[in-house]
Amino acid sequence: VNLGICELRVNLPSTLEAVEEFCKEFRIWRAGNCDELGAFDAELLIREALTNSVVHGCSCDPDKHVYCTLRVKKGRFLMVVKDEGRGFNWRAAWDRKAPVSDTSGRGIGILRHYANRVRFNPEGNTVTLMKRF
Amino acid sequence: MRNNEMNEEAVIPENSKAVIQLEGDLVSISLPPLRSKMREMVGAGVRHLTVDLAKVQMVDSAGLGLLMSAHNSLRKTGGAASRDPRIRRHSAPLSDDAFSPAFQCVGELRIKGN
Repeated sequence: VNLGICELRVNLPSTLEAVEEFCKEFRIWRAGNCDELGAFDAELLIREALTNSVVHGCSCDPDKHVYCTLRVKKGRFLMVVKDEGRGFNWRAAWDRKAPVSDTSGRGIGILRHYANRVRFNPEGNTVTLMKRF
Repeated sequence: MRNNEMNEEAVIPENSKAVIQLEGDLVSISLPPLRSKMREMVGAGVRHLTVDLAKVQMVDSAGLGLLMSAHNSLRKTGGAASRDPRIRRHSAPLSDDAFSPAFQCVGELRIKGN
């Protein structure tokens, strides 16, 4: 992790603990490199994308990895998260709106709401998010 | 410094009502102990639960799911409906328009913020 440039690349074990540690690193990185970027929105996007990869993509298998790249350039925050899972049918979930009483199924909705652009690769194991600030 | 561990302090139930004050982040990794605490409270007879989020800084989709789960459990017990609309902006997505419908139906579970 190089905190001195506006790009951050990490390779995380597929655990929720690693997500927490990375979120701590992100707060430091954001404050030092792009404090104009809204802290809550950016961290929520990171959490949702990483947690999806860890929990659904890799089934919390610590032997698998999640790769994350953050980049800030010209008022845009770009985030790419790739996992070693088999992916999922994101097309089926894209427009799904969780019924109010559901206890899950809001992750993609949150990504779409807080990012200006959300793109999955065809397999569904890489997501690219862009947020303007 | 942000507190990444979810601390909870439950007020002693009175007349089947209780308040649970949360501090930290309501996110995936912090949920298991809180889920156990809520189950324990419902099992002990709590029917009206207020969740105080005033000191919570982050809520993710899993945190929302836990709140909805608590709501569903309480609803099955026949608790009375109530809702507190005072939710801090940065406790979104609770307060964002896109997700507030999930909580407009929240009856037995009160969400308290600043």
